[in-house]
Amino acid sequence: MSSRLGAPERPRSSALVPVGLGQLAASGERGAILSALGLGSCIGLSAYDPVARVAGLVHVMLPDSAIASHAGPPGKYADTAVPALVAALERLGAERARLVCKMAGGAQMFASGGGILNIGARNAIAVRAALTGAGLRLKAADTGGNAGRTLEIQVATGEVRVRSVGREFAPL
Amino acid sequence: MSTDVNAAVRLGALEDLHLDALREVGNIGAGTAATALSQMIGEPVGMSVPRVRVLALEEVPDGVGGAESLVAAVHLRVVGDAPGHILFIAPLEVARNLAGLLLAGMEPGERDEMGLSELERSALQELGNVLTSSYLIALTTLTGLHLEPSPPALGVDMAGALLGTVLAEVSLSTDVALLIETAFEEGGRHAAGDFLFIPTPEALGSVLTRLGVIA
Repeated sequence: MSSRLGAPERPRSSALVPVGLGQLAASGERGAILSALGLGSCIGLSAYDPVARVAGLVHVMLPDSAIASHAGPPGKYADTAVPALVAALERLGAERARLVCKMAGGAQMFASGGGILNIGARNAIAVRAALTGAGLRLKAADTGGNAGRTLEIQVATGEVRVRSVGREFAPL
Repeated sequence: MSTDVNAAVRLGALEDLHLDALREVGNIGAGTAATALSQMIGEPVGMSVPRVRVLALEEVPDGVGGAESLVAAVHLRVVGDAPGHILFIAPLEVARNLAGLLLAGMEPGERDEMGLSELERSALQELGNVLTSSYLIALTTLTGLHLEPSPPALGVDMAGALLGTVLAEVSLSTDVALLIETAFEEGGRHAAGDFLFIPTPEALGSVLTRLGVIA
């Protein structure tokens, strides 16, 4: 885990919870920071309940579970990730109506092709659709383009920050 | 029979016989590519003994140096009898150095936020084309399988961001990746990059069958 804490500006003592490909994390621990490192075509989708003070983050890889022959964890697909994120937060006392959702990622990483066609853009569209389907509102998004991103959310405050290579973290 | 191999991969329990055969695949693929690299940069290129690992997909970015580490990667998708992915990944510093060697004193022009100019990116793209194609040709010769490449594509960014796109495709059929990795050393001094060959589970069965290690 130490290599995931490699970003220099983060104090080593902070409880950074890495959320890897297809993974989902939810936490009510005030010191915790949930972080999706190196999002390319993937989407980091965060949700926060400011009353219950619980945060969740899911690292979505693909738009639709129907296209896969292999299921895998619910966090992998936009259509299964959104309900799983809501359920994980509700178990920690969150209420759906209070959830503030933000997302980043969905870039095209290779100059030509490189993986499934337009997968980043399709992921972004699918996450938006899944949020709408679940009755959730997307408060902010930083998607598309050609640059990788890291997204993190602080459980204590619900603050979401995003950065790309060569840029400082900026609030989303 | 390939079902048994798939199960073994899922459990990370491939037999020594299989691992040896896959190391040989890495050896011959990367050996051919090392010769090509040496000719392109005019310096001797050595290589490591290939390492074969089975990793959960979410562990792969950390397994190759960290999700946020800056790299140049060239990706080639293999279609045909043994579908999968071939990647050449070099740390950004190493990639800049390789681009410099390839341009051999030519004026590189204005550099972008990654410290690479258009010309240097073209040089790396070309390098990646040659390396990944050499690897694929060696693999075809070794196994006799019908394999075709997609056009290789260059990406320069965080390793996790680049790998995520490739692993998303891998994850359509499996939650683990079999990595056959070989490291290059240029001039015997610097790390010059890693080769990753990630066969799909079906491809793994085909390759091992052709190599005669599964019936």
